[in-house]
Amino acid sequence: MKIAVWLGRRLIAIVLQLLIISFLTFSLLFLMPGSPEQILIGPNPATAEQLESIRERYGLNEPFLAQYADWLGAAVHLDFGTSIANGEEVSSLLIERSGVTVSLAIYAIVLLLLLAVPLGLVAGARAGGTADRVISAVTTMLVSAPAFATGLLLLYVFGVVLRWFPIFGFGSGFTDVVWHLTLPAATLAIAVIALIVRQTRAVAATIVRSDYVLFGRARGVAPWTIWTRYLLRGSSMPLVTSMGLVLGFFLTGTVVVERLFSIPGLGSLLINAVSTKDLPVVQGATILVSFFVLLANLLADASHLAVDPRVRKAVLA
Amino acid sequence: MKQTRRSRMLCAAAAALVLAAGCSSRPATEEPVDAGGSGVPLFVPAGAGSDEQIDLVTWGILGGVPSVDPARSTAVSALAVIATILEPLVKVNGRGELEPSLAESYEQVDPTTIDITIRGDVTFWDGSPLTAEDAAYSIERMAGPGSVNAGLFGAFESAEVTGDRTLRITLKEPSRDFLYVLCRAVVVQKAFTEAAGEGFGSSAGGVMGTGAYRLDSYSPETGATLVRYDGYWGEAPSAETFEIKVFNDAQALRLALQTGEIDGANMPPLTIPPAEADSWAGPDVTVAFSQGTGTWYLAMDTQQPPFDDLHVRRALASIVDREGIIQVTDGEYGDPMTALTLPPLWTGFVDDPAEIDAILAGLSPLPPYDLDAAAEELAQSAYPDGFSTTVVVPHEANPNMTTVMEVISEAGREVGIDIEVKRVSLAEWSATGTPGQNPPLSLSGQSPTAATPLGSVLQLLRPSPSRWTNYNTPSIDEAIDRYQVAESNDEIIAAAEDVLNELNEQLPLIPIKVNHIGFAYRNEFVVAEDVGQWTIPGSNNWAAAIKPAAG
Repeated sequence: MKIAVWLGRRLIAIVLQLLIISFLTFSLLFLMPGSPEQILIGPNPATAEQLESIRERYGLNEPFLAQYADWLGAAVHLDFGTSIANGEEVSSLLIERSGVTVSLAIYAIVLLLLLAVPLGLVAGARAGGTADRVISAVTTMLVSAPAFATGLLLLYVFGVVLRWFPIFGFGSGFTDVVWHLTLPAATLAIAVIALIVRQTRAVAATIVRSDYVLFGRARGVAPWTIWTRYLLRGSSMPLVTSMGLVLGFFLTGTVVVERLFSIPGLGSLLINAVSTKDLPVVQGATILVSFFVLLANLLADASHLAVDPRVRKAVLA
Repeated sequence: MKQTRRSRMLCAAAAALVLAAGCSSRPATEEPVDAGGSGVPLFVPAGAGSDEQIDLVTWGILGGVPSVDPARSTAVSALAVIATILEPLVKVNGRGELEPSLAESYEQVDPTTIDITIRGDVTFWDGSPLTAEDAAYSIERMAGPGSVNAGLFGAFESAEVTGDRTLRITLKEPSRDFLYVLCRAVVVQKAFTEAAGEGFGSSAGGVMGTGAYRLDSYSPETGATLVRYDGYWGEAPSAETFEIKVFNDAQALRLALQTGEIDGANMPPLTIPPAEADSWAGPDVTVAFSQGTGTWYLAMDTQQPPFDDLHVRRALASIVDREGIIQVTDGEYGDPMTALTLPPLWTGFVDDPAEIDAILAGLSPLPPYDLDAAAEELAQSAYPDGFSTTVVVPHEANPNMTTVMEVISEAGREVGIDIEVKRVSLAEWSATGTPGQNPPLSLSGQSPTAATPLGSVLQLLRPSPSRWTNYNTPSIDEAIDRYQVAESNDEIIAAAEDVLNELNEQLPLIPIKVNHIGFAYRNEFVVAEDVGQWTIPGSNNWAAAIKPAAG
């Protein structure tokens, strides 16, 4: 029952946060100089009738609050309208693009965990040793490089020189998508690898010096068990919390990677929509991305509750 | 005018990432047919193609395809797809001359009446025949207030069906450019378009046209897959499938071309300095440039101080270092402009390229780059101590604009002209030049609306809700009127010279440079027709001209 109350509160908070975000986004876009019809007409000569016709079609002559109320009224029914730039249903655009971005983010998380956790455990277990210093130096160097530079390097080495992976697009079918997303996902993972490595290392270094590990070793517990049951499980707690933030970063921070690898995801959709002041698309994409981030944080917190009885007791008390 | 501010220069976001890769040799362009100062040819001759049938050609373009509805698309990337699948009644050939396309014939009955007879052998992709009703509907729709292209059709009054295969177009006033503007009115099927409603041209709604390729699938972010239409009335293209892939990053586009993931690409000269074109060429890739008509110029509101003073305008013209600007933005692929017209705009009226050069050379000269002369002009103006002004540039969307303005600004400081170059977003930049916000000075770029000598100029002088230069004199109006109704090429040329001479003397607009047009393709392919400004990849039915190389 208590868990249901906690969950209910969190969901209500998410709804309120989305409401605030939608209003702020709408306001900022409304205040932004320029208008969609001007951008739509592009380089062509414009007539007053033409401008008026386009404004009328998209309800742009309505007062600010009326426009927002119209949008909100439709949005609660999951109708996000149509794109001013191309007439596409915003809902369809969001479904199509979010599939791409979520796939990329999940793949990047998998790569990150496969790379960062073992490296962090090794560095923590060998704290102060050569392995620790090498791992720390390399990961710090990687995280210092901007994503576009890392991506371009990966693209050139593995796409152009070695030709192991395609250098653009999303692909079709599971295997093809994995093949296409490997370089972009690696680019994303590299951007935060140092964070996870250092976090895992810090926890692992503490655990490896703890009495219960020492006692376990003295009892003759197998090294594999020490690594997996003691170090890995002990390190998982902060990792779970971090993963919520990292997933949020991956969902919102894919713009550069999407552009570089010509991947049609939410990031590129949002950037294009902002530059053309395509209000329905910006609103829809912002709400969806915000929802993903808030949901990722909720899942991280819920996971924390599930795996740590101390936290569960404190939160649900 | 704001319409010219939001120019084709902004068709895509700028790419600032450069990774030195590939061959750095001079692109293997064919011998120039005619050379300007840069050596960029007026036309690139057709390559020798074979008749071999192939399964697939993949072509890369920079920037998404917002819509394939011709009435809601202005992006160059969108036009590349539209021009492949939809056809106009009349088109411009490689030499800038009008010729029938879906029209069997057309006749200018009088200065405001055009009769058109459509071909009888054309069918839409669904097999239904093209009718005069479809043609008239397409023109009315393109010129209607709901169309983003309506402003181009300012002279258009009506399109009336006069028979099964005939229609009559009536103009509000004589317009020399109208038949060229009509080339933009690609034909769509009326019944399909009305049934699709707001979804027409979207990925779900699609389009129904008559082109050599039909639209099989399309996405704004990834591009389009086109399949050969077997019932096409003209010559069948070589490739069964033609895929147009969207890239958002110019370097990724270049690498995809060099690795063979795509077979060709439209060069993005508007966002990447042509000076970097050499890095696109290589042992497997040919890069070709032909003379373009994308013009860069400074525009002044001649009703606002200080630009209501001719001495100020002359001083400003004298601080424009065209060679310096071209050196940093275009390298060997740029040419300075001597007037707001360019050789490709004259080829339909003057046969001999040398004669075109002679006409342009005979125009009133622009003030050359000369800081001493600028200081002298300023001393004679109402602002002998100099003046300050601001120019906004959409830096992120087009960093080249910033570069050009910085060069001019730097020279201005030497003589007391303080130009602040303010970097703004594309949206904010688009908002300038609207009614009531006419900027006193602005840097602009645009492409001509017609392949006519004044095709770049008339839209800048035509009255509109947001007229930039506010330049309006009886003499120029008289010359334009004469130009619109002239019947012989000699009369057209004479009237055009009068307009251009006055503009060069009074300087409401200061021409800077021209953007040439580039494309790149792998050597397994050729473009099997002359490639010039009017037939570059992206113009009418261009994909059908991509063929396997002979031998």
